[in-house]
Formats: sequence, structure tokens, C-alpha cells
Amino acid sequence: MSAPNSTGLRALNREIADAADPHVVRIVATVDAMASRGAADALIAPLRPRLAALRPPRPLRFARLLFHPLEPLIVSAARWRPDRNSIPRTAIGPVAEHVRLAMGPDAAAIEASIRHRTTADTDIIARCGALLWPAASRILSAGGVPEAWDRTELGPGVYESLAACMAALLDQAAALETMVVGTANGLLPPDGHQIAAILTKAAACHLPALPMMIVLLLARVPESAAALPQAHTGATGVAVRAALGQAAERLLRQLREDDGTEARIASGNLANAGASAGWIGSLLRQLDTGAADPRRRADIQAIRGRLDASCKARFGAGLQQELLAPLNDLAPLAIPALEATARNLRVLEAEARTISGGGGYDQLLNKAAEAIGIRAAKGRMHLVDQVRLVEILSGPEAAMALLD
Amino acid sequence: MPFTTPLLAGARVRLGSKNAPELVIPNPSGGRGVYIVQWPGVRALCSPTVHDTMLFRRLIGLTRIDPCSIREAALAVALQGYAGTEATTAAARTIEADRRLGLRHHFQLLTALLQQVNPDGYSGPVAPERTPEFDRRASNVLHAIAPAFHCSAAHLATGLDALGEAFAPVGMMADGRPTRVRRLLGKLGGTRDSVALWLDAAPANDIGGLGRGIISSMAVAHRVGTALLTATQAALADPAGLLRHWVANPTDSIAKAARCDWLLDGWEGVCLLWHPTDCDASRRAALLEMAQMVPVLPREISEWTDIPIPDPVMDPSARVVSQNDEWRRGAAAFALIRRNEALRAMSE
Repeated sequence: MSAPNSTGLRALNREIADAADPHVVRIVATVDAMASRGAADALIAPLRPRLAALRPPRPLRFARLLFHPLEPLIVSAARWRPDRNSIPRTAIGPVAEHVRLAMGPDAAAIEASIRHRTTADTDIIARCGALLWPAASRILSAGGVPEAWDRTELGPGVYESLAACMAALLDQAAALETMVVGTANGLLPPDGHQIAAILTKAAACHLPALPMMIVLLLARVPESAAALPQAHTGATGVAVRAALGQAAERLLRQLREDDGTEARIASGNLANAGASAGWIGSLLRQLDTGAADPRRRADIQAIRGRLDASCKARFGAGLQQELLAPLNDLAPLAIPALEATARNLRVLEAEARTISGGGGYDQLLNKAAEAIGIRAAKGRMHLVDQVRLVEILSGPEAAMALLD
Repeated sequence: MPFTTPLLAGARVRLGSKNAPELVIPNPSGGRGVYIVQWPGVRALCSPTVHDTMLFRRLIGLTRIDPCSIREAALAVALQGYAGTEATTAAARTIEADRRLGLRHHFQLLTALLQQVNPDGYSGPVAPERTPEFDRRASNVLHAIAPAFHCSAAHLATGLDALGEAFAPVGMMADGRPTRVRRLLGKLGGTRDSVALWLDAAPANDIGGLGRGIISSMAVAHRVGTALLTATQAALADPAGLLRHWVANPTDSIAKAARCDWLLDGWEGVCLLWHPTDCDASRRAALLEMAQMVPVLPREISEWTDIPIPDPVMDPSARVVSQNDEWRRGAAAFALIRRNEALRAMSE
């Protein structure tokens, strides 16, 4: 593949930015499969907010594994600021190469283990990460600027500060992974002792890394917020509370800036929208405590309003385009696909209700159930299919009413 | 009960007063104790799916509730489509497989009877498939032995039908093909080994000993199940004796055939929860759900086998105190219902 010139690249970028989700996933897979991405990497740049919502499995490479636990902190170089508790994306390549060279054969062994694996292979990430992250932490602590750091245009001073933070974070990455796994997909509360140990060690390693560590904790398990103030007393407790404030500010900024909230809900499929709404809602609930300062609470309120509006818009569009429109089609209905859509709509609605009370959804859901009834009345749908769709959309009682 | 409502996971059914079915539901909070409720009480506790309501309705009016009648009811409801299209297809497949297995087993039982009684003095093997000659010989045998059984040949034929159907899930020992009970024992043993391997590799993944408790219960169920299977199959080696017992006490004969089903009742659901897991977090989540669904072993087990049963296995109190009930309600419930429907499609 020859590299497109800058005009061609801009045109391609515009085209790609408007591409449908499945198209975006295919583009990313194609670029990921290239041995040398070069200019093609720039094609992905404008898609990153959508990728964050779509979360397609990506090939597990050394750099991706190394930065996997730090993903919530990574921002574009243009957005990166030294005081904003984040890591510029441009640092990934040079740092990963630096670590890989320093590790030598150990890095090669890890690369062999992750070959042909993807970011969906969570067991492999945990297993190989447990080898890589502590080693990387030691390498980054040892000093020495990566050879390719110049490419970041950030200067060696920035590297030193970033490397110290990354070393502290990577040192605790395996413990963080263990803590997350321990919640059994959210069925169990996060372990307060594990959280306390992670924060203590991160603070001891490099105190300025503490807000970033808390960002990582909250991004993975928002419920950790409740355990943070209790995790420490004395001077460390003061530091943790201050760091929590900075972490909250960092996370809220991310949701505030550049339609962060809207993009997460509007991008990706309905299932992604429901999951994103659930995560943001949970995070906002955790950060909206009595102890939060009035400015932060106002901030949260504003984001909650935007989240509510985004959910309503996504729900309305999903209902119309993915459920009602196929119902009007004369083609044979793909009932399982309609059921999946109905389920995703209900998940989005259920999450939205926890954010704002969810006014207006019932009316839309009833309208959908009526449309299904009309379709069934015309003999274009079996009773059992109608019952199941109404059950998902309006609940079992409404569905049983069709049978009794 | 193979319910799809998340909050009804691990629920059992029994006949209450006035022969009305009532449910025994594990404490939804995960703590010790159970709720014993009739259907209106279930509706106060949660909003049961249409599938579950239709399933429960099929149990009303039954004079006997056992694993077989529940399985038949569940297959019928799945066949109607209330657990989704995958479960409908699977139910149709299972019902057809049951029918074929029943026919095959009836034929095998009849064949064994012919070989055992051998009234024509013919000691060679009978035809591998049903032929007019085979039917003539079978009829001759039944007429020949009927006087000694103090009943008609037609009654004996009815008995053979009933026994063939009842013992079909167990299968003849000589028939190496996997029957439902054998497959279930295989799943149980496989799951026990898989959980054990996982915990051996990373003991910290056990949650307060839940995993070891589950393995222990599985091991007992597997051991007793294997012994019961052997004993039940041994009874099939004497088809004339089996038939004589059926004539004397048909209920007891059929109950003997159902012992494996009683023992293994509920274990398939537990095993199915484990097998779709693909990472440690999911496996831990599965452990929590499995612990809530570990079946209670039937009290009669001590009469069925000499294998000593540890007391904790007879009273599985490994209840789970999770964060709260939220993981089974609200948005999460939709995914769980879908998952439960997928498990219905995977069950036999």
C-alpha cells in the first residue's frame, strides 16, 4: 500500500469519519493487520473516540499489552498537558520500544505468547501482563531516555516525569488487574484492602502518580470511589483525598470535553450505548458524594443532563431505525435480531432511568409494542414472536395479557 | 426448575397442600434460608418471564412432580417458543432424540427378554432390527411367560413399553452409545475436573471456599451417580425379573429407573454455567451463581447406595452473599434472561 499524500489523507479522513460502525471496525482491522502502519495510522486517529465505544478486539501487540492498564489515561498529543494526569499517545511507541529493547529475550518470549491473540483475550493479558508490567516499571524507574523520544517533541524533562508516573502505575498494574478480576464482573464489591495496598505502594513509589492511579481504579471499577476515603488515614489519607479530587476532575473533564459524553452514547451499537451509559452513570453516582465541592457537583449535574439527553436521542434513533423500520419491511423478520435490539433498548432505558428517572421512555416503548401488535394483526408475525417482543419491551405482564 | 427469570435461579418445586405446586426459592439476598411460596408469592418477589409462567402453569394439576415431568414440561414450553428460537430448535431435537431412544431401548429390552427366556430353544442372536419375525417371537415369549406372571401378555407388553421408556435415559450396559444419564455424568465429571484444575492453578480464585464446596458436592453426586447408573443398568440385565417386579409394583419399578434423574436433577444447569466462561472474572462470577444452584441431594440416597455421604453435602449451605441483588435486576436482568435462554437451548 502506497502512502496517500496529505490532501488524499484529509479526504480519506473525512470519508472515514462518516463511515458506519461496521465499516469503521473493518478499517481498523485492516490497518491493524499491516506490518508497517506508517501514514495509515493517521487514518485511525479521528476514529479513536468511536473505537473507545465500539471496543473491537485489536491484535495484542507488545505496546498494546504494555499500555493496556494505562489506557484510560491516554490522550492525543494535542490534548495532553503536563498537569492533567494523562499520557500522550505519542509516548506509546518510543516507551514500548525502550522497554522491549531493555527486556531483550524476555520481551521476545512475551511477544511469542501474545502472537495471534487479541485484546479480547483477557486471560492472556493478565498472564503476560503480570510478567511485563513489573519489568517495565523497573526499566522506566532506572532512567535513560528512549532513543525515539524525540518523535514525541516533548523534551527529556517531560519523559522523566512521565516515566516516574508510568513506573509507579505499571508496578501496581497486576494488582489492579487482580482487584478487578476479584469483583467477578461486578458481582462482588471491590476489596478495600487491595485498594489500600495499591494506593499505598503507588504513593510510596511516586506520589504525583496517585491521581492517575485513582483514575485507573475508577475507570475500571467506579465503585472503588466509596472505598477510597476509608482506605487511609493521616497524611496518606490527606494525599489520597486530594488525589481523588484531581482524579475526579480528570475523569469529568474527559466526559465534558469534545462531546465526551455524547460520543460515547452515540457511537457504536445499542449494546455499547447501554454499557457506556451504565459506566458513566455509575461513575457520576460515585463522584457525586456529599463531600464533593459545589463546583464538582454542578459539573456532575451538567454531565448528567447531557447524558440523559444523549440516552434519549440514542434510544429514539435506535427504536426507529433498528426496531420499527424493520417491522415495516415486508421481508421476513429476523426475530432474534429484533429481540436483541429490543433487549439493548431496554438496557439503555434501564441505565437512563437510574440517571434521570427516565421520563418519556414508557410512551416510546408502548408505541413500539403497538407497532408490533399491528404487524401481528396483519398476520405477519407469529403470536409467540409478538409475545416475546412485547415481553422484552413492555414486560411479562403485558405479554401475558396477549395470551390470557 | 429450569426458569429463565434471574431471581428464580436455583428454585425448586414441590407439591404443597391440596396438591398445589409451590416453589422453594433460595434467599434472594444470598444468605441462608429459603422462601417457600406459591405462584402469587413469586410475582410479589419478582416479575417472572412468560416462559416461567407458562412452565409453572403446566405443573398445575400434576399429581406427581418429578425430574421427568418437569423436563417434559420444560421441553413443551421451549417447543412453543417461549425461550427463544434456539431453545425451540433444541427442544424439537431433544424430543425427537428421546423418541428414537425410547424406541431403541424398548427394542433392546425386548431383545434381552427374548434371549433370556428363549422359549423356542433358539439361542442365537436376534435380528438387529425389528422384523415381523422378531415381533412374532416377542409375542410368543410374552404369551409363554404370561401365566407365570399371573397377567395377560398384553399387560406384559404394556409393562415393557413403560420400562423401555423409563429406563431409556440410563440405557443397557451393553449399548455403548451415550445416553442422557451417561452424558450428564460426563458433564458433571468434566466440570468438576475443570473447576478443580482452575483452582489448583490459582487457589486465590476461590471465593470463601465456594469453589471447593462445589467440587466436593459434584464429586459426591458424580460418585453416587456412577454407582447408581451401574446398579440400574444391572437391573436391566434381568429383564424378566424387571418385568416381574413391574407387574407386582409398577410405581416402584419406574421409580427405580428415575433414581439417576433424581440424583442428578439440577446439576446440568450448574455445569452449563461453568462452560461458557472464558476468563477468571467470568469464572469467579460463575462460581457465585453455581453455588446458589447446587442441588440438594435426595434424602433417599442412603437407601440407594452404600457410599458414605458427608453431612455438608446433604445440606449445601454454601450460600452467596454478593454485593447486593442489583446484578440480577434492572439492566443486568436482560442479559441474564438471554443467557438463561441460551442455557435452555444447551440443555438436554
